[in-house]
Amino acid sequence: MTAKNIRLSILLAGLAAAGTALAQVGHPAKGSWSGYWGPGETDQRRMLLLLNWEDNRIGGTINPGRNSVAIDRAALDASDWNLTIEADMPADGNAGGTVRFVATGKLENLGSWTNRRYSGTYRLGDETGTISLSLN
Amino acid sequence: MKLKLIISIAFAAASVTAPHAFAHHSFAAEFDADSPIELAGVVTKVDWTNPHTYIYIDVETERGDYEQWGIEMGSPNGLMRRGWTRNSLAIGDEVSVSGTRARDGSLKGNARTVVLASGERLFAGSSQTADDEE
Repeated sequence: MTAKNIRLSILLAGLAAAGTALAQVGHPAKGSWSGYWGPGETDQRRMLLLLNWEDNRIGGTINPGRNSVAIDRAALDASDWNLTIEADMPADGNAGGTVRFVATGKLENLGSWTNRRYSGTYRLGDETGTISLSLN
Repeated sequence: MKLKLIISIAFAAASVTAPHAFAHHSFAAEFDADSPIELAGVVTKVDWTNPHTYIYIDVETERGDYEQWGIEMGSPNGLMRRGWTRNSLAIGDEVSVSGTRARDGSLKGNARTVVLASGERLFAGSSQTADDEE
C-alpha cells in the first residue's frame, strides 16, 4: 500500500466518522432526567423531569404522564451552569390549589453522556430540601 | 493501482462500521431464557437505535424505591413491521413488559411483549424468537 493510499484511507475514515462526530446533542439541559427530591434522606420522592429547548426557551414537564406538571419558567445561567426551574405543583390533600415549586441547582458533568447530573435545593411552599437528578 | 484504491476504501469503510456490527449479539449470550421477568413502570427514555431499540423504565420496588431497567427490543424496522410507530412510547407513559432477564443479573431485559399506556399489546421483536428460528 502506497503512502498516497494510506493518506486516502485516513481521509475517507475521517470523513465517514465526521458524520457521527458532528452529531449535536443540543441544549445541555435538554432530555429526560430522573432522580429524587425531598426534605430529608428518609423522605425522598421520585421525579421524572422532561426538559426541552424550543423557541429559545427551556420548557418541559415534571413527572410526565397522568400527574404531569408543566414547567412555567426555567432559566439557565451559562456562566456557572445554574439551572432554575419553577412550576405550580398540586397541593397535598383534598383542599386543591397549587403550591409554588422552585428548584435551583447546578448542571454537572456536561461532557458526559452517562453521568450528567442536576443537583441543588428546592422550595415547595414552606418546605425546603434537596434535589438530585441524572440525565437518562 | 485501482485494486489498492478499492482495498483502501474497503478498509476505511470496515473500520467505521465495525463497532455497529459488534453491537449485534446472540440472545443466549446475554439473556437467560430461564429467568422470565414481568415489569411495570414509567418510560424514562427511548432509544430508536440499530440493531436494537432500547426503552428504559423506572420500576417501583416493594421497598418503595425505584430501579431503572433497560429493555432491549428488536430493530426499529422490525418494530415498525409489528405495528409500532415513533409515537407508540412517550416519556412518562406507564407500560408493562414481559421478557427475559440478563444473565449477569443486571437491571437489563429482553422484551417479548410490551403493553402500552393505551392498553395495546405489541410484540417487541425479541432476539430470542430470532435465535429459536435459526
